[in-house]
Amino acid sequence: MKTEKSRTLSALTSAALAIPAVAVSTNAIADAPPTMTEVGYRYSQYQEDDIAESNKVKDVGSTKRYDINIHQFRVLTPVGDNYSVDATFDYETMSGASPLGTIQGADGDPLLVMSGASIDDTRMDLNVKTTRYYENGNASIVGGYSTEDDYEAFNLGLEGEKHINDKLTTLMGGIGYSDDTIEPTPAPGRVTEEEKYTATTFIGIAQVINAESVLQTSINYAYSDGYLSDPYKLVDQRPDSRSSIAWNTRYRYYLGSLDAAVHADYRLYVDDWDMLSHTIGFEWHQNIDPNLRVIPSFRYYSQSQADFYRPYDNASIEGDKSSDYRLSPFGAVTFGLSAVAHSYNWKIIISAERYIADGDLALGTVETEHPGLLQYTLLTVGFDYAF
Amino acid sequence: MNHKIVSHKVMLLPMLLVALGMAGCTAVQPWERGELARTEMKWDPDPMKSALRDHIYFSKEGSSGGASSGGGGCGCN
Repeated sequence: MKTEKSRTLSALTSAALAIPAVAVSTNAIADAPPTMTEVGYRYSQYQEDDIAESNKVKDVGSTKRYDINIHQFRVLTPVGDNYSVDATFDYETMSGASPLGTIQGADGDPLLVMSGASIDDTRMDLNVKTTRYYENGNASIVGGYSTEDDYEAFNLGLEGEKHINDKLTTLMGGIGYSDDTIEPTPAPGRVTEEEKYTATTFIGIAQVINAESVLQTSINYAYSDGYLSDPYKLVDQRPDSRSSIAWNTRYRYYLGSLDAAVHADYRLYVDDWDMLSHTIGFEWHQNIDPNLRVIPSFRYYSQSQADFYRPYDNASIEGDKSSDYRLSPFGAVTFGLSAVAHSYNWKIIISAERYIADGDLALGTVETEHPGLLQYTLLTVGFDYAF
Repeated sequence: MNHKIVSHKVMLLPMLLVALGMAGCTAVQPWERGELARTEMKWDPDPMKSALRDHIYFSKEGSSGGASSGGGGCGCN
C-alpha cells in the first residue's frame, strides 16, 4: 500500500516509479522496499444459494450448499535497506452439502445427488514472499503451505521483474511448483491417499503508454500430473495430467477530469482437456473526496466443457468421465461494489459481490445446463494500517 | 459449443489492444508519472481481495492462471 505522504513526496521529487506494480520508492534511481510496515485484516462471509428441490434427487441429501467464513491476515514489512517480506495467513471454516453426482431424472433432466447435512472443514494457508530490490528490478522467493482436514499442499516459486527503457517498460517472469496430497474421508471403494504435482511458469511485459495509462500482458503455462479426480464424487475419473495456458492482459487508465481510474482485464484460458474460457473484468475506482473511494465492478466469465464431461453419471462407460459442474459449459457474471475510506496510513474496506452462473450466459449454446451451477454472495469488511 | 469461430474473433480484440498500446507509447518523463503512482492505478490495489477472488474462482470454475508463480492448492468441493 502506497501511503498518501510518500506518494506526494514522490511526485514532487519526480521519484515515482513508472510501473506501479511494486511498492513505490522515494528514490528516483533504485527499486526499494516499502517505507513502512503494513498490516491488514479482512473478514469475509461467503454464502452459496441453496439447491432448488427440483434440481436434486428427492429425499436424498441436503439442499444447503457451502457457507464459508474467511479470515485473512497480512503483514508487509521492509527488512534492512534492500529486502521486504510479505506474509499472508488465511483461516477458513466451511460447512455445507456437496453434489456427489448427477443422474438422469424421470423426465430426462439431470438431477443432483447431494451429500448429507454438513461437511465441516477448516482450511489454513500460509504464504511468505521475500523480495530483494535492485537498482532496476527485484527478485522474489515465494513459499507456502496449506492444509485442510483431508488435504495438504506445499508450494514454492521464484519471480522477478526488470525495468528498462527509463523504467517505462518492465519485463517479468517466474516459475513455481506445488505438491498436493489428498487423504479423503474413508469410504468403501474410495482412494485413501493420492498426490498431485503442478509446475507453472509465466513471462510478461508491462508498458507505460502515456502519463495516464499502463498496459500489461503475460502468459502463464501450468502442467499438473498425478491424481486429478474428485474422490468424493460417485463416478469421477479424470486424466492423470493437465496442461494449460492462460493469457492475461490488464489495462489501467486514469481519467483526470473525473478523478477516477478504470481497470480492464481479460484472460484467455485453454487446456488439453479441451476447455476454453474467456474472463473479462472491469473496475471503476471513483474518488469521491481525498478520503473516500467507491469501486463498482463487473466480471463476465464463459467456459466450454471438458472433453470427458458427461451431464449424467454412468459408471459402466469406459475411460475418463465426470459430471462435476466445474467441467460443464456455462457462463457467469459477478456484480460488485466496494467502498474504501482512507487516510495517509490507514484504510477501511467494505465490499459486497453477487455471482450468478447460468447456461444461458455462456458464449456458445449449452444444450443441457448443469443443475449444480452456482450462485453466491460474498461480503467483506477489513482494514489496512501502516506504521 | 463451437469455439473456433468465437475464439478467433475474440482473440483479435486483446491482441489489437496490446499492439496499439505498445505502438502508441510516449516517453513519459519521471516528473509526469505522478498519476501512475496512485493507489487506484496499481495492477493490484488490494492484494488480499484479489487473492480471495482468485481462490474462489479457481475452486468454483474450471480455469486457472494469472501472472504469478502459483499459490497453495486446496481440495475444494
